Amino acid sequence: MNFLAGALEEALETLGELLADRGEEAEVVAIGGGSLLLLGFIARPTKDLDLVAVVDEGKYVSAEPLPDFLSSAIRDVAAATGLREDWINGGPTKLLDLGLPKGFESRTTTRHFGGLVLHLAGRKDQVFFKLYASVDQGPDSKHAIDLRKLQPSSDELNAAAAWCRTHDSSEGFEQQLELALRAFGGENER
Amino acid sequence: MSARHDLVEGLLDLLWRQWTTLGVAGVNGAEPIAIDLEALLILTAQLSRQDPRLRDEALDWCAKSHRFISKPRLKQLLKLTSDTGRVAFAPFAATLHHQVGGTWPTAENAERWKVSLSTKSRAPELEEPALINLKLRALFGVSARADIIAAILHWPAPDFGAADLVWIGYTKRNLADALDGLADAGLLASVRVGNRLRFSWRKRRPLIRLVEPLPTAIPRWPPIARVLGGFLELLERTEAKSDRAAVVEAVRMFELLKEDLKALGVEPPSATKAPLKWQRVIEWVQANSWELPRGRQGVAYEVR
Repeated sequence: MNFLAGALEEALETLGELLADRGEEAEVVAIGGGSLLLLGFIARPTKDLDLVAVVDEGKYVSAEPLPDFLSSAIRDVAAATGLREDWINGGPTKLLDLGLPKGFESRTTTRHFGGLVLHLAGRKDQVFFKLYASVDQGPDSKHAIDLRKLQPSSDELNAAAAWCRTHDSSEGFEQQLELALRAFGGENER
Repeated sequence: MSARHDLVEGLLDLLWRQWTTLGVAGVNGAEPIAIDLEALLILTAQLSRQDPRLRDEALDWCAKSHRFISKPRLKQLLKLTSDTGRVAFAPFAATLHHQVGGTWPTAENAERWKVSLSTKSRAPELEEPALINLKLRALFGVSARADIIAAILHWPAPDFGAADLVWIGYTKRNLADALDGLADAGLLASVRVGNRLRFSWRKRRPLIRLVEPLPTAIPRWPPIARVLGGFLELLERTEAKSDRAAVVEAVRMFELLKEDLKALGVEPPSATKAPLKWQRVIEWVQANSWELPRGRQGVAYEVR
């Protein structure tokens, strides 16, 4: 089942209330379509909320696997609402290994849902991630559509391209990146 | 009035009617629906906080008529009861131990209640249709045999096996032995299907002539009592919660009750078609709390 912003907010409120009720607290960092929906940048339905990290004692750590208490609460909310069991998942957490854009933490927007603290990636960082995903999945992908909605400037696209190269320096990727930049109106400044 | 309050009132009414039918002093009228003593004891203990007088009168009856109670079955049913139900039963068992002696499951290390018995309870009138289980125990002994016969009097299919009867509260081995005994005695017929024995009635009519009058319904009390106890726990736990958190708790509880609901042919509410609504869930709980103890079909969750 896909959800729109209202349903996602409600599911997060339920999750936060459940965690608080069980005496648990979780702090997580989201990127991607679900987070863009919550920030109001896009309106398309999304099937999940992607986490890039869990915050543990102030530090970003891998969101794969999620802590047991959080996974269990996520599954419980899914069973009651008809959402997929992995409606919150750590799918993109590998981005942590090669590094998030510099200053990422300072640009996040923080939302509180009971026992859940949710940091949403800032617009600039979303441009970085969406360009990276668009290169991977092509100009007609949902990522490319989301990137257009973010209306990145040429400078932002170039900065995003520079960050993307730190994650993949292969020739094939560079060719695809060049095509993507042209499609979005950026220039390859390499 | 809250849903929890309504459920408690409904359950207390049910328990008072059953206990007065058994012989507890009281005015509630009897219904011709079979009573299951051990399931009744467990559910009564779970509601003892809500009505200490019912608890005391139930203990008074037990002090007088405890020979009808099957302790092995009580032990087996308590194993299948929720932690809340077992904890609630422990002081009840400790008080029974104090009053009548003997070993009572869960009584160990539990503190007994300081109860002064009214001594107003009378011995059960075994001609009462609702007391068919007690009459069968008087005839065949307090045993799996008596309880199997009670369970199969209104059996809805032509045959049955030990696995079909585990809900009664005995191990499959005990049930198989008792069924063999009933077949040896000529009351039942048995036929081997694959590697399993299937049983059917051979002398139902003569037996019915012996034990009449029969109740109009013989509900499957052990799973019903666990489901009712689970509903009570759910409504107590969700009283101060938002509707959406209550729905999550409900789904967790229905998962715990899954096997019992299945044994009763009741499909629990599921969010696969549409998100669950707490008000609809409460209505489903209330409807089934009314229908199941009357030996009727469970009610489906209504998606509106």
